[in-house]
Parts: sequence; structure tokens; C-alpha cells
Amino acid sequence: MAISMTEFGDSISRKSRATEEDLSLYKILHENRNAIRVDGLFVPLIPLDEEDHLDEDEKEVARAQPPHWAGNAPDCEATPPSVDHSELQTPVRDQKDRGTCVCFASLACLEALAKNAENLEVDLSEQFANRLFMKFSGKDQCADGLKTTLAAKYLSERGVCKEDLDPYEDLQAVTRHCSDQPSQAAQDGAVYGIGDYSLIDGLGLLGPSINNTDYLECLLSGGHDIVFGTHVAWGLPDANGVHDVKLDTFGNPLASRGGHAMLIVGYERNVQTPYFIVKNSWGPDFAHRGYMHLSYDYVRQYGKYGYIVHQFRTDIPVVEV
Amino acid sequence: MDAKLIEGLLHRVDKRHYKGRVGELVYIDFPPVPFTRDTEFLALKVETIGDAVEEPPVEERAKGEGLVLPSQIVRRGAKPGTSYVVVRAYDSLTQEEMAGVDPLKISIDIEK
Repeated sequence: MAISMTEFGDSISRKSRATEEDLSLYKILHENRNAIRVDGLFVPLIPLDEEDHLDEDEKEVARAQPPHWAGNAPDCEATPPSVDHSELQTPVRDQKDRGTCVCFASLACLEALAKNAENLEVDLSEQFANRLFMKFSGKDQCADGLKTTLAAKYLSERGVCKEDLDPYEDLQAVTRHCSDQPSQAAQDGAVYGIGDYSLIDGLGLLGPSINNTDYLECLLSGGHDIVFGTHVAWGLPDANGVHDVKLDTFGNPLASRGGHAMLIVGYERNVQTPYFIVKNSWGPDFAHRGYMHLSYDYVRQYGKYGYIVHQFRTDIPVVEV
Repeated sequence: MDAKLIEGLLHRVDKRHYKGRVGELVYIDFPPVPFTRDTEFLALKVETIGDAVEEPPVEERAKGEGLVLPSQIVRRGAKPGTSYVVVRAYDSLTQEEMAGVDPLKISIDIEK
């Protein structure tokens, strides 16, 4: 359970005397840090780095586009206890040994939108998407790693083709032709992309933030899937199959050891450890048929940013990659 | 985790020698180790040996999602000499250094 200073103040004002636990929590909150409760202990949220936020251009986009907390968001007073869009997804893919998670998470979101909003079954090319993203970054297709939110921008400016026109390769195979261009057919077929999207920053536990689980519930219950970038600090799942926050020997949440992008497709609130249902790209035999169950506290602690897509396009102007 | 795989990823870096001057920042690129199912529990730990460089209070440039951290570190020349940055691979579940994975050693020569 995440606690803010305001919530803490409300709870303490109803008590006649503060406990030791209250005082330890107060110390954390007094340093302007939010806290989460893990295994009965209060621990501070790790402060996010500047890199973990939208840059100035992205903030402008985020401000200019819906949804806002009380604007286009669905009725947040009435979110159901669980939402699960996993049956509406295309099959779980496998990124193999490349750091192309942003491509997989982004295209999984587009494929589901095409399937459900446009009644269009399409398997989009992650290989082509990575070529495109790396081209924007001034690199060849053998490079990988990308800030998740940039994918939304790139896919709204340039399209990708279907998988069969530019099939995915593992690291060894792609390394043989890092600088090769995609086929003419792939370039001509690169018409699938994003019409409209909204960026979500990591603003803390309140408001339109990737760390606000109420907000994410809102979006999911409104029919959206959420592409999100997260720090990696999980260990093995608990007995219920949920990946939760882990603490170090000093009682602090484990430091990040990497970054990953996935697609949030649902949540389950009325269980011992509430969790989000997250489509990964490590094949269908990983975790729950390819889906992770990430605890609410994990997303509060480690979520960086994300985006949702409002409109799928099949007519992005073709430009040579 | 597959030690041979991790060893291969960690050592696929071309530049292992950097030069700088006292007071200047030196940006050291590590090999991009993709974050995948094979590296799910890999943790890279960095140790600086020698006093020719120091850790400056600047942000290190992240490279977004898809990679094991750190992918780049920053050091500042402190005095003439040579320092080394050593990157070791750990299993985050056991917190033990991975057997069979040689540490990556990068040298930094600092001039006046």
C-alpha cells in the first residue's frame, strides 16, 4: 500500500498517539519521499532520476493530448475489481537475445488495437520497427535499447510493415547484416502506425502518473492497454506468482539493474497482493503463459513512464528507411 | 544463467582504453548487454581502481529500456596517472559473482 504525506496526515489525525511505525514512516515522508509498505515495513520509494521522466518536448505533447486526469479518463469512481484484456491480445512473441523490448511492447499494443477496434488481424514486424527506431537514433539495426516513449513519437511519424515482409532475427543472424536496408516490399508495406497517442510521465503516486495505480486502473477499465517502461529489480515471483518489490539487507527496495518495456493489459485488485497483468515478449512459456503479474507496489516503485494509443493507422506515408 | 553467454556479451566492447585530462569528464561506454530472458537476473557491478579519476556528481546518460545497467559511466580526471574501471557480473538472486565470467577491465589514462 503506497502512502503519501497527505494520507499519512489524515490517518495520524484520527489517532490519540503515534506508534513507532508511524514515526518511522513520518521520517521518510518528511524528507519529501513517498513510502510503500512491503512485508509490514515502510520503505521509501527510490527517487527517480531525471532520465526517468519525459523530456521537455514530450511534456508538451503530454499536455496537449488527452487523456487528463478528469478529462477523457473513464469514470474512475467505478472501476471494476479486475480487468483482463489478455484474451484480446495477439500471441505472445519472443524477442530472443536482443534488447528490442520497446519494439515488441509497442507493436503488441498496435496489434491489439487493430484487432479489437479495426477487426484487423495483423502481425507487425519488430525487426522493421527496430530498424526504424535505431535509424531515428542514428544507429544501425544491430543496436537496441530505446526510451519507451520515443517509440510512440516514431510510430506516429513513420510506419512499419507486416512481419512476413521483414521477419525477426536473433542477434547472431542480424549481426551478419547490420547495415542492410529492408527490402523494397517491406519499405512499400510500411504503412502501419499510430494516429494518436498520449504520454504518461512518472509523476509520483497521484494524478496522471504511471506510478498511480488508480489512474492505470482507470485507463485499463476504459479499454486501453498501456505500453510502459520500467526499472528491473524483480526477483523470483511469490507463492501466488506475483512479482513484488524486493528489499535489500538495509530494508530498501533493490536498486534497478536494467530497463524493460512491456504492455499492461489488465489488473486484479481484490487479492492479497494486487497486481497488473503484463504482456511480456519472452515467449508463451514465461510466467503465466507469457504474462507477468507485477504487483501494484512494483509499478509504484519502479514504473518510469508509458503511453497509450488512441488510434491505429494503416495509411502512414511511405518513406525509405 | 549461461556464463559463456554473459562472458560474450560483456566482452563485446571495442574500446578498452580511454584518455582524459585533469578536471575533464570521461564518458565510458560499456558493451550494450540486452535485457532478455537470458539476462533476467544479471547484475553488473562497477568498481574503480586507482585515484587518477573520481566520480563526478553528474547524471550518467541512460539508454532507455532494453539494456542491463549501467550502459555508460562518467568519471572525472583527478590527477595524472592511470585508473581502471572493472565491471563484474553478478547473479542478482544469490548476490554472488558469476563463476566463469571474466571481469571487463577498462583503463583510463589521465594527463595534466
